[in-house]
Amino acid sequence: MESFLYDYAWLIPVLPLLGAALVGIGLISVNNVTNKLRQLNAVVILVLIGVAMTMSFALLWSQLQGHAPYTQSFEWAAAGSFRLTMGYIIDPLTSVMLAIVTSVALLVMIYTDGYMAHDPGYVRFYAYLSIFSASMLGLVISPNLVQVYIFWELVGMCSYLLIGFWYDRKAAADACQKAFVTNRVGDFGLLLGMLGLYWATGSFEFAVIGERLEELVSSGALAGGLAAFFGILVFLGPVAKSAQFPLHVWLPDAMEGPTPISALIHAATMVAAGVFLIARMYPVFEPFPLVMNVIAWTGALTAFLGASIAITQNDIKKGLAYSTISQLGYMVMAMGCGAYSAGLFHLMTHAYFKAMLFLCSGSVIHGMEAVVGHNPVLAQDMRLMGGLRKYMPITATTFLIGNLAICGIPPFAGFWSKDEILGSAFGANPALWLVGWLTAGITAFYMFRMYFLTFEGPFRGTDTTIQGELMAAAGAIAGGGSDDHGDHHDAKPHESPWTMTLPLAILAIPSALIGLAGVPWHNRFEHLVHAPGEAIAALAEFDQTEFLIMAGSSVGIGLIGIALAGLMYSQKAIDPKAIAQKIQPLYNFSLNKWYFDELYDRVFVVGTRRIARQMLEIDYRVVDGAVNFTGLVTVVTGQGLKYFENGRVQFYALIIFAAVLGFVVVSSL
Amino acid sequence: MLLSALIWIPVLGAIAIALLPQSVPNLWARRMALAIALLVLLLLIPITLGFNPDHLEAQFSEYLPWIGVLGLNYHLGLDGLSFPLVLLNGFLTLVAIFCTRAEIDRPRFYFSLILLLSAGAAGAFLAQDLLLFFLFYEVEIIPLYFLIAIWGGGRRGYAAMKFLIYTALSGILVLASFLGLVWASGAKTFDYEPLRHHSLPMEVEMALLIMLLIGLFIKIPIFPFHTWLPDAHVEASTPVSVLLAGVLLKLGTYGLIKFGVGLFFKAWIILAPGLAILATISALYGAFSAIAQQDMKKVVAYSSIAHMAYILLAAAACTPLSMTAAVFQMVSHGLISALLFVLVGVVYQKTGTRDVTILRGLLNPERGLPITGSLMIIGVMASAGLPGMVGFIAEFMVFRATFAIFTIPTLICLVGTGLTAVYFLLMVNRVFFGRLPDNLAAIPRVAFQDHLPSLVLTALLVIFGLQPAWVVRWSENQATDFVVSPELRRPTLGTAVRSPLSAPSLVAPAISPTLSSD
Repeated sequence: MESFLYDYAWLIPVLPLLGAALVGIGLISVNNVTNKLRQLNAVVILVLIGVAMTMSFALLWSQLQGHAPYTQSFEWAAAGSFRLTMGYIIDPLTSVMLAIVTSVALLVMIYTDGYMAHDPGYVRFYAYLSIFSASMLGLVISPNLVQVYIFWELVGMCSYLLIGFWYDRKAAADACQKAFVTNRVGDFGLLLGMLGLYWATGSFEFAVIGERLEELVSSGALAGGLAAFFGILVFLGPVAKSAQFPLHVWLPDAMEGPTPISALIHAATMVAAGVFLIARMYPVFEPFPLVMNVIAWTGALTAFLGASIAITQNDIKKGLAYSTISQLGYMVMAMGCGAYSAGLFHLMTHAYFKAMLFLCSGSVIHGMEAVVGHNPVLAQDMRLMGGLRKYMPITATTFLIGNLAICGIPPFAGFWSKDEILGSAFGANPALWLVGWLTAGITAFYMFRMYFLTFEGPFRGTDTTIQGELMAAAGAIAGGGSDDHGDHHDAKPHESPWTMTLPLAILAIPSALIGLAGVPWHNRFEHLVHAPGEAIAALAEFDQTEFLIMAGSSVGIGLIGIALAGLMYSQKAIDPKAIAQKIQPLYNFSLNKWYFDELYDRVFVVGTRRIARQMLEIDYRVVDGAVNFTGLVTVVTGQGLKYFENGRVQFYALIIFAAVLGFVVVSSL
Repeated sequence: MLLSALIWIPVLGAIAIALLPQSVPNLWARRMALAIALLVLLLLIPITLGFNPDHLEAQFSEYLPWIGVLGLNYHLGLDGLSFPLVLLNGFLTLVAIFCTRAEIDRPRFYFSLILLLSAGAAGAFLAQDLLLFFLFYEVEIIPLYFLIAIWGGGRRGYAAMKFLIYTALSGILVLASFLGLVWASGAKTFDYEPLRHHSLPMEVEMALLIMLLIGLFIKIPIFPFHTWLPDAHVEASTPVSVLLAGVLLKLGTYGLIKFGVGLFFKAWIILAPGLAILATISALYGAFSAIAQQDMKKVVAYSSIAHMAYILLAAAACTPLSMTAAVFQMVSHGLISALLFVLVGVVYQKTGTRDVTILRGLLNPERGLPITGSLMIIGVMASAGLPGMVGFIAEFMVFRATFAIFTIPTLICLVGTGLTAVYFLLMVNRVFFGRLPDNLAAIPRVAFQDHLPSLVLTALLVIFGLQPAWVVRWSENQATDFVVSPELRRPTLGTAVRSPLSAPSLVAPAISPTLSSD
C-alpha cells in the first residue's frame, strides 16, 4: 500500500491540473453550458483536490512513521550532453508542504462557493484556483532547481491571472501587472543564479550543487565570493516571491484580487514558496556566512518594515497584507539564522492562521457589501466597520483566535513558532533578536487595532459622512471601478453563509492547536523536518530557564502591544489621532509605505519609459533618417508606384529578376 | 523528386490560380490555395517519415546540372537544419492562407503570390548550392513586395519600397560574398559541401564573412539594419505578417548558421564576441523600442527584433548546445510570432484599430473578444518565456549555452526577456483589461474558424513546450556538426563520424546522439 502511494504521488499535482483542464476546455468549447453548470464544476474540482489532500496526509503520516525519502525522475529534455530531468521527491519537507497546500486549498475552495456565489466568473475562478493548486503542488515536489523554476513561474502566472481576475477594475489590472513584473525581477536573479551554479557545478540537484560547490571553494577552484554571489542571486527569487524588501511592493497591491486568492496565494502558499526554496537551497546557502547574513538581515528588515506600515493601514486587506510581509520576514530571518525547522514551523502555523484571518476579512467584506455596496473603497475600510461581533459572531471569534495566534500568545500556534525563531535569532545575533522582538510588539498592536476597529465599538457602516469622505479621498482611484448593482442595501451586516463560516471554523483548530506539534520540550515537528545533514540528537536538548526568559519577554511585549491597542481603540483612553499629529512625519512615512511606490515609479517606471522613448527617437531620426535622407526611397517609391499604377506589375517583376540574373552572369565571367 | 515537389507544386498552383477564368467565383482562389498548401503539408509526411536525423549529409538529394558556365547546379537536399524550417514554412503557409478572407481584393493574384512566397522560402531552405540559395532568397522578395504594396495599409508604398531596397541590398551582399568565396577558393561550382573545405587565408575569409553577415543582418534584422521591419509589418496584412515573421526572417538566421558558421568557421570564431555584443544591443534595443509603441503590431514587430537577436547570440557562442538552441529558438519564434500576429489581426479586423490608447477592456465576456484575449495572454506569456511553453525551452537553452561563454551579454539579454514581460503586459493591460468603452461596444463576434489558427498554434506552443524533444531531435546532430571545427571533420564526406572526445574548448566534450535514437 505504501509503495503504491509513493509510486503514484505524482497524481497529487496532476489531479487538480486535470480538474482545471476539464473545466477550462468546457469553458472554451461550450462556454454557456459550462457556466450554467456552475456548482457542478466546483464539485468536480473539490473532489479532485480532496483526493490529492487525502494522499498528501497519507504521505505525511508515512513520513512521520520514518519512511525513507523517495525520489523518482525521468529525462524530460536533452540536447547533447545537456539534459533536464523532471520528477518528484517525497521527503519530510515536501510532505509537510503538501499537507499545508492541499488542506488550505480545499478549505479556500469551499469558502469560494459562498464568496463568489454571485460572480459571473464563478466557474473561471474555480479553474484558475485549481490550476494554481496544481502548480503549487508541482513546485513543492520538485527534486531539482529547474523544475522549481518552472513551477515557480507557473504559480507567478496564476497569481497574475487571479489578481487580475476582476480585469475591468483598473486597479486590479495595474496590480497584476505590477506583481508579474516585480516577480520577473526576482526571477531574473534566480535564473542567473541557477545558470551560474550550473556553470560551476554542472548540476541542478540541490544536494549535488551544495556538495560540489563546497568542494570547489575549499579546493580553491572557485572563489568563495563568486559562489556566495550566485547564492545571493538565487535568493533574489525568494525576495520577490516572498515579498521581501526591496521587492515587497507588489503584495499589498495584489489584494485587488478576490479575497480567497489573497488567503490561498498571497498569504498561505505561494508567498511561502520563497521560504520553501530557501529551505531547499539550504545545502547551497549554509556554507556561506555572507549569504546567510544577507538572508537574515533582509528578513529582519522586512519584518520590521511590514509591521511599521501595517500600523496605519485602514483597508483591512492591506493591513493583513503588510502583516503577511512582516511574518514572511520572520521566516526568512529564521532561515538566515540557521533556524531551519523554526522557519518552516512558522511557515506552517502562519499558513493556517493567516489564511483564516484573510478568509475572515473576506467574510467581513462580504457582510459589509450588503450595507455599503460592491465598492472596495467602502467595503474594505475599517473606518466604516465596528461592532461587527454582534452581527458576525463566528467570523469575530475565529478572527480573534487568529489574532491571538499571530500575536504569539500561548498556547496558540504562532507563539511556539515565533518564540523558536526569536530564540534562534538571539543565538545568532542579538541585534536580529531585538528587531524581531520589537516587531512582535508592533504586530500585537496593529492586529488588535484591526480587531477593535472591526469587531468592537459601534457600527459605523451607515455613517454617510465617513462614506463621503472615503469616496472623496479615493475619488481619483475609485473612478469607474465600483459597480453598484441595485439599491437593496441592508442597514446591518449579516453573518456569511455556512460555506464560508465552515472553513473558518475548521481553520481555527490548527490556528489554535498546531503549535503544540512543536513545543520545545517535545518538538515533533523538528524531529520530522530538519536541515539536511543536521543530526537530530543535537537539537533535542531543552533549556527550561532560557525558554522561560525568551517566551516571557516575547509574550510580555505582545501583551503591551495588545494593551496599547485596547487603550487607543477600545477604551478610547488615548486618542490615536493626537499621537499621529504629534509624530506627523513618522505617521506619514508609515501611511505612505515608506514612499517605496513613489521612488520606484520615479526611478524605474519613468526611467524605462524615457529610455524607450529615446530609443524610438533614434529609430525615427537617426537610423531611418539616414535612409530617408538619401532621398532614394521617395524617388524610387514614385517610380515603383508609377509602374504599379500602370498595372504593369508583371513587367516590373521581370525586370528585377532579369537584373538579378544579369548580375550573376556578369559577376561570374 | 519530393523536395522539388515542395517547391514546384506551389509554383504550379500559383500559376493555375492566376489563370483561373473570370467565370470561376473568387471563392475558388482561396479554396485552391488551401488545397495546395494542404498538399504540400501531406507531402511533408513521407519526408518526415523518411528523414533520418542521424545522417549528417543532405538527404533526399536532387542534382541536375543547370548552367554549367556559371557553375550553377540545381542541387536540393534536406538536412537537420533545414528540416524544421521547411515544416514551419509549410505549416505557416497554410495558416496564412486560412487567415485570409475569401472576399479579399484581387484574390487570384493574392493567393498566387502567397504560394510563390512559400515556394521561394522552401527553395532557399532546400538549396545545397550557394547560387541556387541566392536565387530563391532573391526571388522571394518579389511576391512579398507586391503583397505589401498592393494589399497593405496607408503607407504601403513607402514600406514596400523600403523593404525592397533593404533586402535587395542584402541580396547583393550575400551574392558578393558567395562569388568572392568561389573565386578566391578556385572552386568550379557553387556546390555547398565542397566549398566548406576551402583553405582561404584568414583576411579573405574575414572579409567574405563580414559581407555575408551584413547582408544577413538586414534580413534577420539586427540593429541598425532593422527599420524596414516595423514599417513592413505595420503595412502588411495579417497573413503576410505571419509569413514574414514566421518564415522569411528565418532565412537570415538559417543563412547565418548554414553559411556563416558552415563556410567561414575560423573567421566566425574570431568575430563571435562582437556578434554577441551586437545581438545584445539588438535585443535591448528591440525591447525598449517595443515599450514605447502605440500600435499593437509594432509592439510585436519590435519584440520580433529582440527575439531574433537571441538566435544570433546562440549562434555566436558556437557550442553544440547553443546551435541546437538557435534552431529551437527559430521554431519557437516562428510559432509565437505567428500566433501573436494572427491575434492582433483578429483584434484589428473586429475593432478596426490596433491603437493601444483606444482599445480597452476587450476581455469582456459578453461584448468583447474573450477567447482572443485569453489566447493573447497565453501568447505573450509564451513570448516572455513562461515554462510549459516553447519559448521557455528555447530561451533557457540559449542562455544556458551562452552563459559560460558570453556571461555579460547573456546577462543583458536576460534583462531583455524581463522587458518582454513589461511591454507585452502593458499591451495586454491596455487592450484587454479595464472596462470596455461604449464606443467599442459593437464588436462583431468571432467565428470559430477565425479562432482555429490561433488555437492550433497555441496547442503547438504547449505541446513543444512540454515535449521539446520532438523539435530537438531533428536538428540536434546537424546543429552540433556545424561547430565541430573543420580540422576534426573528416575530409571525405559521407558517413557521420563523431569527433573524438579531446576536442578543443569550443567544441563540447561529449556529443551523444542519444535523443535521436529513440
